[in-house]
Amino acid sequence: MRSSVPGADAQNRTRLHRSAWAVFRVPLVVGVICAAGLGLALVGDGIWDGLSWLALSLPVALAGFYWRRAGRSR
Amino acid sequence: MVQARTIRLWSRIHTWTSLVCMLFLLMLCVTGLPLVFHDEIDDLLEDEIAAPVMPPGTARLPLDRMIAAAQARFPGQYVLMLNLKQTEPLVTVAVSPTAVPAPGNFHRLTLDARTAEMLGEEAPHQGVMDIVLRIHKDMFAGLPGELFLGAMGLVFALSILSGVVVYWPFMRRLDFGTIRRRSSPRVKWLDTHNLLGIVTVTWTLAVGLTGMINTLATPLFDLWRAQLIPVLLAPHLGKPVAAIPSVQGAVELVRAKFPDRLVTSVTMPTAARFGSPQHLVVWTKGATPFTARMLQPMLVDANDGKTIVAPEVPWYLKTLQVSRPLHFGDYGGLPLKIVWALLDIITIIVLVSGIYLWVARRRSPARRKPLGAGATATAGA
Repeated sequence: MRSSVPGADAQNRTRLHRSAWAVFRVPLVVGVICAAGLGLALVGDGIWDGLSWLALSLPVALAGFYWRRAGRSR
Repeated sequence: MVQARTIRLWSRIHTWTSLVCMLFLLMLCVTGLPLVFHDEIDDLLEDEIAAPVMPPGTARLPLDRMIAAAQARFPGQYVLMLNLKQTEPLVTVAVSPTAVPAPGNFHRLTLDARTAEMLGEEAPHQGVMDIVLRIHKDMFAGLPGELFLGAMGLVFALSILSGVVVYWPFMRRLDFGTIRRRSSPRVKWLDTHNLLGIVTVTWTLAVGLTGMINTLATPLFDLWRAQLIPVLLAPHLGKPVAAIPSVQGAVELVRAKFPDRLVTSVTMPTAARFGSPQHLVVWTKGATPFTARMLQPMLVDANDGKTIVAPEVPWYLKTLQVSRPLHFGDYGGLPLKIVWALLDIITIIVLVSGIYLWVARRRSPARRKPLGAGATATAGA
């Protein structure tokens, strides 16, 4: 198996069984931020809307970032 | 391994719940995409009716004059309701040839609130967006179609949750966000499916579940009506549908009694399910972004034009009203709609890559092995 990220392969092999916490840590943070984003625009306008746009853009930004990173590292 | 069986079970749940709702979800995502920009597209396609410029503070005519103008235009027809535009001095009047309107079979007249001049007249027609909305809402199958899509929403939620569970075994050896793009297409799309799926969980669950709640709107509203109306109608038993009393009088009464609420529309006495045969229903909303979502009907007795009943909106209809914007994404300006559309597109990618992975796995010689725990390592070989 070739890994997209140099060096990550060896690193991965050493940690064969990650805990649920290690796997879900980042998704949990993303999920909470999105939930806040969904709620913020509901409470008010102006600054609240802006925060909501930022929070809900996070999944899109992450998807774009990791997709590009995978494409670059050959 | 103790967990192998559990993981296989969850994996199977994820596969089958996804397959069951897949086609409908794809349809909902594709039709939902233009619907996010419903207002913008409508503005583009239809000529917006603007009120002529007059000196600020020009007095408005009584609403009863709008009804009279509509009745003069369509003699013998039934005036169903008035809508008061909040941003402009315009009133729209819905007129139907039948007492209980057939869907889509009514005229909508737009009148200048200051002169009762007819500015626009919309014949019964279905625009492109109405058709897209019908497909999205009930696939032209009415309430059964709506409830069916609601059930699909529930299956979708189950598919998301089981997807979160199987995310763990897949990601046990990988860093968050890893996409093995140089591996086989199957591995590449597996990683993409996992990444895109996991970062959008909150949004897909929110939009999916609020969509499901929306499908219950008609039954929930009927339920409330069934509890409320018989009590209110008890003193009027056996009477025919009341004549339209002074609408302006009723609206002013409501405004005086509830000064912090804005009147949005008035439903005439009707035997149809959206109103009451013996009351004018004056719909009001709050003035803050949140309370503006909460519509509150005020029922004015059509026989004396004076008695106001402000029924407490039950919790399930409040939930419904809050769930609406969370489904439509129309509560934070155009940027929020754009984010909504992007998340919708990501969801489409997750759905399509899911089908691809299912097909690829069935074709693969290693199909006996669950593509969980240890199989990801061999999948790329």
